[in-house]
Amino acid sequence: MTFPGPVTGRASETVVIGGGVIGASIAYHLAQRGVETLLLEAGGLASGTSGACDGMVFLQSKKPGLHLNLAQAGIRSLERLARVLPREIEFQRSGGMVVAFSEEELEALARLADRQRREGLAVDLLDAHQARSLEGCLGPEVRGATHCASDGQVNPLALTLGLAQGARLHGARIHQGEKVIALRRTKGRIEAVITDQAAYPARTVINAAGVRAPEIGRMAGLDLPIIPRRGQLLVTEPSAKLKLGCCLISAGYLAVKYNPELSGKDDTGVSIEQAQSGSLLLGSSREFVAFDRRTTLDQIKKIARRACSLVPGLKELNLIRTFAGLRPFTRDGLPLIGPVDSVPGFIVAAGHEGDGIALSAITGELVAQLAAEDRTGFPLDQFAPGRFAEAGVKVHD
Amino acid sequence: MTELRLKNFQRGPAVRIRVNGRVVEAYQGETVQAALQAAGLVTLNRSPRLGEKRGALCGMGVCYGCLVTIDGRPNQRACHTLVREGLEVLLDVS
Amino acid sequence: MSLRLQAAVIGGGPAGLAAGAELTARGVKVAVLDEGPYPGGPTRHSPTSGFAPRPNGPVRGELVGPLVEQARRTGTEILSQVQVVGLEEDGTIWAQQGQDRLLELKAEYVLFATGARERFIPFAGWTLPGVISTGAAQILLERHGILPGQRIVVAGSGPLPLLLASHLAGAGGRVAALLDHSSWRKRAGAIRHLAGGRTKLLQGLGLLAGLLRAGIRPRTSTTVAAARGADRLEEVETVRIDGRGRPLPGSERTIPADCLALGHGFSPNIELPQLAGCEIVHDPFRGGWLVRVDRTLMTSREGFYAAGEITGLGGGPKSVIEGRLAALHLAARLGAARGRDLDRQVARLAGARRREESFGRFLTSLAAPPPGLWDLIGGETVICRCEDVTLNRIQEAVGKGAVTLDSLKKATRCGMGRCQGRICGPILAGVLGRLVGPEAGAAQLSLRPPLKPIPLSLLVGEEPGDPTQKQRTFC
Repeated sequence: MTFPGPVTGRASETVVIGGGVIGASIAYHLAQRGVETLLLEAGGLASGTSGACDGMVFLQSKKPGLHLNLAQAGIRSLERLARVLPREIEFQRSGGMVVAFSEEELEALARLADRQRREGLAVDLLDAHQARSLEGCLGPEVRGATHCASDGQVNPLALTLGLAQGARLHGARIHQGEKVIALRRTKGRIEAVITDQAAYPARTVINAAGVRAPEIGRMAGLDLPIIPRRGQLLVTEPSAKLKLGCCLISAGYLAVKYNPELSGKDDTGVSIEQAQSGSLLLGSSREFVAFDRRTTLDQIKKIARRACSLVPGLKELNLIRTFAGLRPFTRDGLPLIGPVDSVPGFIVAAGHEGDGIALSAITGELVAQLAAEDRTGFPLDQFAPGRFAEAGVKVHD
Repeated sequence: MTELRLKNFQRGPAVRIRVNGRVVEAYQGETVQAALQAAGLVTLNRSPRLGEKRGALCGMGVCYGCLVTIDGRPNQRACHTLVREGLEVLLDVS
Repeated sequence: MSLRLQAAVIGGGPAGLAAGAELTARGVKVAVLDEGPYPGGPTRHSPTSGFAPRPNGPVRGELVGPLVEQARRTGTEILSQVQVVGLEEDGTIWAQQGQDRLLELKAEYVLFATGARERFIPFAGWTLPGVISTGAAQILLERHGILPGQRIVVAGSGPLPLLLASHLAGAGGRVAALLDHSSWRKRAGAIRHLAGGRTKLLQGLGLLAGLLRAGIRPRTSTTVAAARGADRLEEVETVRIDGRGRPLPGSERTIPADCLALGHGFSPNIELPQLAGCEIVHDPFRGGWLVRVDRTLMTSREGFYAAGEITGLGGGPKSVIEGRLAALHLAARLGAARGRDLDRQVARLAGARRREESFGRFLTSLAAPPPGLWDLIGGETVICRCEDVTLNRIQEAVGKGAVTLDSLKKATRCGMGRCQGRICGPILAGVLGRLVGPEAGAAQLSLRPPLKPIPLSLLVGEEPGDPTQKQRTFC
């Protein structure tokens, strides 16, 4: 087989595939370590999922255990990035609230809060009155809530662009509009990344292509069990009157997140975040519709209705835009992070679904460490790309 | 100041609208923007980030430059709203 | 609230009104959905009409009045203040009706007649109150009998600034200056597009003669360098330019004015057909991005038609012809038109359409700005008015590799505001065309509903009742 284009890379280069928040973070952390890094992005930076999501960094929404621990480390890393990146990323510990619309939901939240507290996360259980005195804009249907002051938010676009900018300052090369079409392998090991424009010899290849990670995986003979799951979001005009103190999600949102069979039914999941511009982001649907990024009247209505019952003041605002992002869903709700034994030199960092922003900084740190030192300071077994034993990572040549 | 309203123009019946509490001349069939313009009121709002004073640009519902508060509802297009008796306009350009 | 129709016509300007009346007369159940507060579109004139200060009576040579009259006679249903903001995969059209109603409707056939909007080439101070479009000035003058200012500067190119200046002078307004950024040579060059349009040429010359009689001499090869004022426009600085649009030093002049009307040409409103998945094509000589239609004016999507400015800029008469033509083809498919009579009408309209298309090319090439005007924009000039994004910030983002419209939008928020890129999109395309290359300049922002802002409350509650009852307008 002959490959197009000249061989332009340096033999020692580490190639990151994907210019979303995960790829940009990995490139940043690699470059910071002095690793020669090339980031390849088929479209533009943040042109996929990272440019079509909200910026909530919720700890309360993570599964107690390693997932939560990772998120806790992740938010500290984000906090540090906010200080060092060459661009304002609008990070703040605004706090987050999970809101219950029924006594059953409130009880479930209380049980979850107990487990979270055991993991060292400070979560308060609030009755309806307490919740409303903390967040004045909550509607009368709210029965109670949990609140966590450590939850935060960030501007996902600014974060992705800031990471890329930082990576460049540390010497990384970033190629946009360049699509990876093949991986050249010799005795299993990947030797070069072939794009529609050139071929790059690679020491290590990192697959951070999000919902497109399975395509890249197939080039290495792998089946990565990541499925696109559409999330539609609504954006209101900036509001002079309505000021949210913290980020809000409904208890139903958590239920849908971890029970995909609920999605599509008339659930009550909703999230509300106020960006620094004053606009409110209302989300989000979770639908399996392949790569369709359209928004639909049906879901727009559902989200609007739920958001307005959570915060009735929204009814006075104009909806100015909608958009949809494709979240890289995995069956157990955990990302795929780590090396693949059958393909030396290949690392996967994808499948974060809705947690990509929250886990971006820590994923970048860990993967950079893995690529540079072949070990990590955090156990990654639960996130191993090969963990789906029966149908998971298959090698086929 | 010359009168901006043409004298020999057939207008609808007069209606009373108020702009920041002050009565402004208007006629049925006119848009709020037209009535404001006739009264010399072209500075309608402030831009979101720079805070610059702004007014109507396209006059046909596209640019959202003529946003004003009408009967308590903020961000209404003055060029796409017809005047009616008792209508209240608020211009926040302080 | 939902409604079922045989045909929905979106847009109540010349094309939409003509189509609506034709379909209604043939017994087709149709509604014309119009965003504006009154049917007929923003302005009433045809490029050849004189100004007559009568809001309700006929105006000599006027295009829209007779169309509204015809629609009234035929009983055409026109729903005013219906703003279509989305079109679902299954063909459901959704719209804001009046203040608070969500209208959902389904039609067997859809005809897009969404017209065009004005485009702008920014300069320092173009965001000052008092700087408006020629269309805005025409609406004030013709619809409302109101002068747009005490001392008015009209600037731009093409026939509309001439027409506006002539109308303003005719109504007793004070036109302080009429600036045209094209040269006489360029105008002479554009005439080659005017095949068989001698009448129109003569009308244009007549317009010019009228202006000269009123003491208004167009200053050719002259453009606005800056608009200045504390809280609103107080003065306009003009500068002469060479054939490529580069300023001639020392030619600056300052003119006191409280109104500056800009006529920089038009951009077709293709957003809705684009959202519907209809193929669009780029043709700089016909207005940029257009909806591709076949001989029958059907778009690339079965059952969806387009007429008027969105198939290529051409002015009111072309829109009327296309509205009728699309209506005939649509009626034929519904079985409401057939036979030799239909064939004859179609053939006649198709011939007239070709003539008007050549006139459209003439107008568009007249209005085309010299490319150098883009280079005159200063770094501190606001490009995106909704989000206050300056050229400096755009250049900075382009320097960092954001060379597509979508990546620029993400990097700078340009186009993220209320107008959803309708005003800054064409500007950004022009800027990118100069900074990056023609390919980047021909890009498109991606679209999602709602195409215009709507109250969130609209989506929350279901209101009972017939949507045609409350807002019905039998013009």
